[in-house]
Amino acid sequence: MSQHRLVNPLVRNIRALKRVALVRQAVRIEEEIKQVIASCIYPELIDSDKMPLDVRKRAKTLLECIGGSVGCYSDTIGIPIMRDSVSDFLTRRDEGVPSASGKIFITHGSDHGFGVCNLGCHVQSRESMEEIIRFVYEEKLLLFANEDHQDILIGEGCMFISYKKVLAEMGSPFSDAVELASIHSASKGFMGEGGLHGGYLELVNFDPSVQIEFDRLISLLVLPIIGQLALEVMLNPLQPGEPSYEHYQEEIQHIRETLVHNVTRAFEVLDSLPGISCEPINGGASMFPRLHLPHTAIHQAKEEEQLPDFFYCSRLLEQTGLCVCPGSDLGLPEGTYHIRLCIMTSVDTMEEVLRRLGKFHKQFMKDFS
Amino acid sequence: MSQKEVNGSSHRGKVLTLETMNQNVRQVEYAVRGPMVLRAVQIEEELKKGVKKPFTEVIKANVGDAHAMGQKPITFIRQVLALCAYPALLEDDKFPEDAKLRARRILDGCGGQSIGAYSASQGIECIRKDVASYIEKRDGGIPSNHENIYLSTGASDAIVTMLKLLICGEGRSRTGVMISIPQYPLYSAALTELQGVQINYYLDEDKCWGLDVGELRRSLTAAREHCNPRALCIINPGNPTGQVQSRQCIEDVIRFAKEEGLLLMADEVYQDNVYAEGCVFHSFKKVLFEMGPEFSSVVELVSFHSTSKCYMGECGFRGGYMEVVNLDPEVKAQLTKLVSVRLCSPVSGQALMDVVVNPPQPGEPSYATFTKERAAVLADLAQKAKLTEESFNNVPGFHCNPVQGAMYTFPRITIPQKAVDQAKAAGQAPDQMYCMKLLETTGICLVPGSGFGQREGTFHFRMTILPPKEKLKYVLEKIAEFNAQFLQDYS
Repeated sequence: MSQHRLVNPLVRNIRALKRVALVRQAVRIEEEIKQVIASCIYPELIDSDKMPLDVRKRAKTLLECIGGSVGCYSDTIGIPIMRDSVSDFLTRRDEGVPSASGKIFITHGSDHGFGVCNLGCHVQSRESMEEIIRFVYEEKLLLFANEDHQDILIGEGCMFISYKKVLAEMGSPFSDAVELASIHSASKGFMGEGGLHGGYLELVNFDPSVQIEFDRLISLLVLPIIGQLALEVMLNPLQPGEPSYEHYQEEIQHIRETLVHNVTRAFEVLDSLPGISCEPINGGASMFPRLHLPHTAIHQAKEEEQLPDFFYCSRLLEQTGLCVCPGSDLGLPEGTYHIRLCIMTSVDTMEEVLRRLGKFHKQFMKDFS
Repeated sequence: MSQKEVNGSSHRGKVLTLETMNQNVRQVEYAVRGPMVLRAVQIEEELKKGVKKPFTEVIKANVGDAHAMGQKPITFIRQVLALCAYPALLEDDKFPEDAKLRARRILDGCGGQSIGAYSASQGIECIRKDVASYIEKRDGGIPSNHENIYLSTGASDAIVTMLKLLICGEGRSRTGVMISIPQYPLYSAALTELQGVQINYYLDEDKCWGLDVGELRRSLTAAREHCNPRALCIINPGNPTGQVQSRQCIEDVIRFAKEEGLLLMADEVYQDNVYAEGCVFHSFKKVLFEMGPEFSSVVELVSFHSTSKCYMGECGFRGGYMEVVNLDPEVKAQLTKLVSVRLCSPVSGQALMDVVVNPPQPGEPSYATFTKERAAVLADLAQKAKLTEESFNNVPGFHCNPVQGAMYTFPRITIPQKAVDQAKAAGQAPDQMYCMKLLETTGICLVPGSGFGQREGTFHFRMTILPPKEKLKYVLEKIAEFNAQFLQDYS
């Protein structure tokens, strides 16, 4: 194995994403969710009056469903009560379009199994979604819908509709023919719990014998229980009347406001700079400012055998400590240059990010004019 | 019809069918959660609905799930993890200082002080450093570099990652990987899925599942006719067989790997589960380095560990690591790239691994309780190992090797020819038929030996030693009863 050429060429061909772990100030997980998880991990807390009653009750119920300990192996396709929760959530979300827990698979994060990379900054219109569905029907393609930013809606009047709902509402022949796999996770959205690794996958119109094969393939993997707990609490948030409900709602509202603020600020600051332009975003966790790089910069990048947007990001990192992802990593059209900027951060951090980026960018444009 | 026309055919079948799916996946088998378990779950459902059975509960002695079988979690571990999950508890004086110290250290290594943030793909650096220190201490000071440690989602994830790197080539040059028979079926399943060539080497049942270099050589020579053998996997302590390999054996394997140019994969997840007198766990890394630079600077070794077994039994957290030794730097870069695609392993599992490698020390407040709990778990397992071996060796037709380590027993059973014929006529492995009948009659779920591999003409089953003592005694009695009846029915 000591020869590089004897490494599986399929692995060698994977393009290393040049991003370093995004320096992302994780949006703080809601207090109540942390309390539920901690109580499940250390059940002594269930008997302690330091935790709110609703938290303690929820933890007790969850522990009973998972065999008494978060240390047990979970069923390979997810703990049954979690799968029921997911299917209930989906039925509610899609206003009655039924979801069966037999078609739900709990996963460890939305990257599990599909590795779909979705830019997630625009909320698709219903018309656009119907076009896609018609296309996959005609061309006999499977449709993978990565919907893990569905909570993050920023634009005024924006609404998330799931592919499943649109498909159902299009009726025959589409609704009973198109094979759709939708994925969602606790990694994104308001939870931002990437490290906990909880997600789900719903299969629609799949061949039942293929679903059995899917079960068997998944049986080799075991899902982290903590991630499933996080998912469960995300999908079944606290209800009005429960003691922690008000506080929970406040936290969600605060997060929403922060995201809207960040997007507005970023747009204000960046769109006014020469050589950089922004599209307003209406959903998702990232923005994609476009760079209009001077020819000298592009030329220099090529001399150094780097893609121009990687060149820009690399200098940005070296000079300011700011780490963003070059658009070339994400398959954006050749000849265009972008950066991906995460907006899921505190207001202060965003301000600092924009300050550093603004300063760097002005200097960069000057140096390469 | 042109290919385009065929592919775009307007006939409205499913896009994804058994015929059009990845055929390797159809071949994958993982007996530990296979047909036996599916039937066991169905029976549980039937019992819930009030269907009358000769038993009142299904006992799942098929999978090494300690907590599900009533093993208690270690208090200190759960305290640290609760503190990490909900850091406000750091203000709570009910939690001991040493737990808080570790939680703070872990949270400092996490983005935004939260175990909810993604970590670096190779795993949180301070945890990898703690793992490296633990390995150094365990191995009598032989250095371990945290850059060679990769935190993973259980050991399974790391094992599959290494196999992905290894498997390439076509036809006669396709990568072959040597695995022990009997083996833990993750290896065979992963090789099937990745289209690697499985090279079987047999453990010697008559010598307590010992490993013989002659057998390794035989197996390798035969394999060279049809593939390119590149790696040797060994599980020590063994699963399902429970043997703890001697130091001599480990040296022999290392020598063999060097002579034959094989990468060694040492699955050591049961390293604390050693019960038999005179048996000692020797890590492959330690032995390798003690054999001197002729070996230690050359042999490529990857060792695996996990938080699911030993005294912790924390299967649900998915904590694990691998340590790579003597890997080509460019290959290591490829490995680092490969793990980055899946972002990171669950951070709660990484946090758990940190506690495992950084337990309370003498003088710390939790030391006494921790030591007591740990010793109790291991002593309990040791007792159950002995009880099981003695019990099974009193069953006519059974031969049970000592359970020297790990968590399982793998007795050889006798299946009369009449039963063998019946099973074969039904297209079933005879030990599968045996286990299925046992399940239907007693509610006890085991895994047939055919799921792990065994010598032709021999039959086994794997049972865990995890049920609490009283339940275990019940299980042992019921199996003995069933076996007597089975032998009679098929005489």
